[in-house]
Amino acid sequence: MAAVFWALIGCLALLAAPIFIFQHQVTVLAQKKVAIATETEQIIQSNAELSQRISLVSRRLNDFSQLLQNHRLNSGLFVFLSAICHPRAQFTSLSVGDNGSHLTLGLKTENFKTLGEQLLILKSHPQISAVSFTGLSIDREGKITCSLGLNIDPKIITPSLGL
Amino acid sequence: MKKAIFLPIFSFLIFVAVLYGLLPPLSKAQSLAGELAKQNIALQETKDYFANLQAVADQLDQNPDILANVAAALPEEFFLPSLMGFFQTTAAESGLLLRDFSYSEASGAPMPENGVIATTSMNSSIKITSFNLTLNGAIASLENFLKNLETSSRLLDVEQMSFQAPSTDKVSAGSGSSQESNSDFVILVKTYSY
Repeated sequence: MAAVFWALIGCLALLAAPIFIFQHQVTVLAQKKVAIATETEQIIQSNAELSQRISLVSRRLNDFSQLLQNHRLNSGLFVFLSAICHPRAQFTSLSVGDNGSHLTLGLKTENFKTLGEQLLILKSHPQISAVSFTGLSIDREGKITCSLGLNIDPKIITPSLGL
Repeated sequence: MKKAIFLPIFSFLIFVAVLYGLLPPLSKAQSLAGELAKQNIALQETKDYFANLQAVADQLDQNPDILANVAAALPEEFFLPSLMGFFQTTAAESGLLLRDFSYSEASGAPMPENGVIATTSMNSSIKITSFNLTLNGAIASLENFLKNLETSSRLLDVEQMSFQAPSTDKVSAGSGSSQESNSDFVILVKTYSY
């Protein structure tokens, strides 16, 4: 009985040490935590100007990249039109739609045969998806005039779309 | 006999000491240690992040042309006289005559009489100003003009373009363009600024 009694006394005494150790450890860890939080805050504050500068540059580059993605090179259209025009036909007017993929062309040809050949050239071209023509008429000189509507590959005007 | 009385009391005290004296700080110490490890990682990441930012800033400082080019393409301010002067000079150099123009800007500049203009915002900060330019000249000159706009340091997008060849018979066959006769061209040019 006495042994158990003293053993319990010993246990109580032994428990005191780890209690104090863990409490001390808690205090130390809490202090470290505050110190790290303070250091992090100081680093963020001391680099606020740098962060703001890079953020501004990043925003500008993103905006520029976005604009460049849709940047149009309309001069390429003339090369394209030269390539699709029948030798005996003439494009008399041009209108490029807002989206850059629809063209309205005025067409003048020597005769109906040339008109037919011109339409075949357009319909067989891989970068032209739809061809429509309206306003067919014969002018005073006997030449055929009409208006063409073409849906072309947007990459012709906006090459970056293909990247 | 007296010691036997204290046995349950001591046992209870040991139980209470373990339950309320040992376990809470142990649990809290473990929790704090975990949080501290996370904070250490966060601190290191913060340091790495700013080190990377500094490296980027140094690279930008070493190559100021990169930002200068972007600033030229997408300027802070929209300055109308400079841009119109550019259009007029470029048109003249390309062999075109700038006959008419219309424009608008977000600040509400006076609208020209024939102006059909739109200024919109692409996103929160970019201001888009549209110009309607009426030019006169040959198609080859228009092609040069467009090339000059495309190679300009400022970012300019020709959104719409239309022309009507003159009714004379000088429209070249097979080339899709009028080589000699002058035509009126109407083009819509968009420019961007902050």
